[in-house]
Amino acid sequence: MIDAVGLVLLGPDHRALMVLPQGLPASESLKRAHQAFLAFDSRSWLPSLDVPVLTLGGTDDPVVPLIHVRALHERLQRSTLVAIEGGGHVPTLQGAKRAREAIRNFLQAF
Amino acid sequence: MELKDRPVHQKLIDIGGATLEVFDAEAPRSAGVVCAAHPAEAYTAETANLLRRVTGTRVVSVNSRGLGNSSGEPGSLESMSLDLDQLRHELDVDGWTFWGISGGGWLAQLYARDFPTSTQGMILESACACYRQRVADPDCIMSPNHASWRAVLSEQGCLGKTCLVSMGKPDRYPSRARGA
Repeated sequence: MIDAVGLVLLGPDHRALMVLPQGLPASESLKRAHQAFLAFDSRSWLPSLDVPVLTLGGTDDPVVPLIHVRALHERLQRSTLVAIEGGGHVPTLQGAKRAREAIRNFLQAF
Repeated sequence: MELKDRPVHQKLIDIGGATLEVFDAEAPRSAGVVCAAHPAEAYTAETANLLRRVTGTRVVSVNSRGLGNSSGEPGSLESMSLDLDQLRHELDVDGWTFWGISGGGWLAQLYARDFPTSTQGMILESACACYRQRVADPDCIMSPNHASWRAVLSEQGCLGKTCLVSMGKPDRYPSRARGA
């Protein structure tokens, strides 16, 4: 099962909490870290952040589906959302020109 | 000298209690410094150079404790955020824009909350607000309910209703049909 899936993190009830597909970090320390990351939830305090934000996502991202990127954007009071059509996970590092342009334009303000 | 040819300096910075590995990619443009860090992935000089080519600014990419050549063990996200601001002091940077990529987005959000005066802005790329909610989404490849894993996990008896019940269903989300 592990070979087919990658790595499955189980909860105390031996039910699967999450899957780390092959290729993602999976050392012992990082397994523990991922368990801790599952507690991360900023939804209650995101609206209080008063900083400019560029929120980027790919429409075809299987790791962070765009719906979650959009939900993040909608809780931020000063966010601009740029969705890269056909973009996967981390479109900038995949060379998406529009993502790079959006970042350059965003940083012009500083 | 073209930006891609400018040096990327590897530094080991003592922040008190730990030494963090930093790749400092210099740039001629004085306006703005971009910080990049991830809680579970080590960055390299190549990463810093790539990010600099995108931003056109100085980029400081940081390896959290236990990653790359940074000392210690990975701590909580809050402690990583604290380390980053200590590092900012050590580098004598007044403020920076945090580029949080994927899981680095959690660090960016925490840093902006805890150190607002040091945060000029944030770039949140492929990031989310709630990890638990994301992995409960069958469209996320890290979800046990994703089509790629569901059958085999079910066969092994480790897929249960808990995946969606105890981890929480997405609450108020806009329609998936909406355009980007």
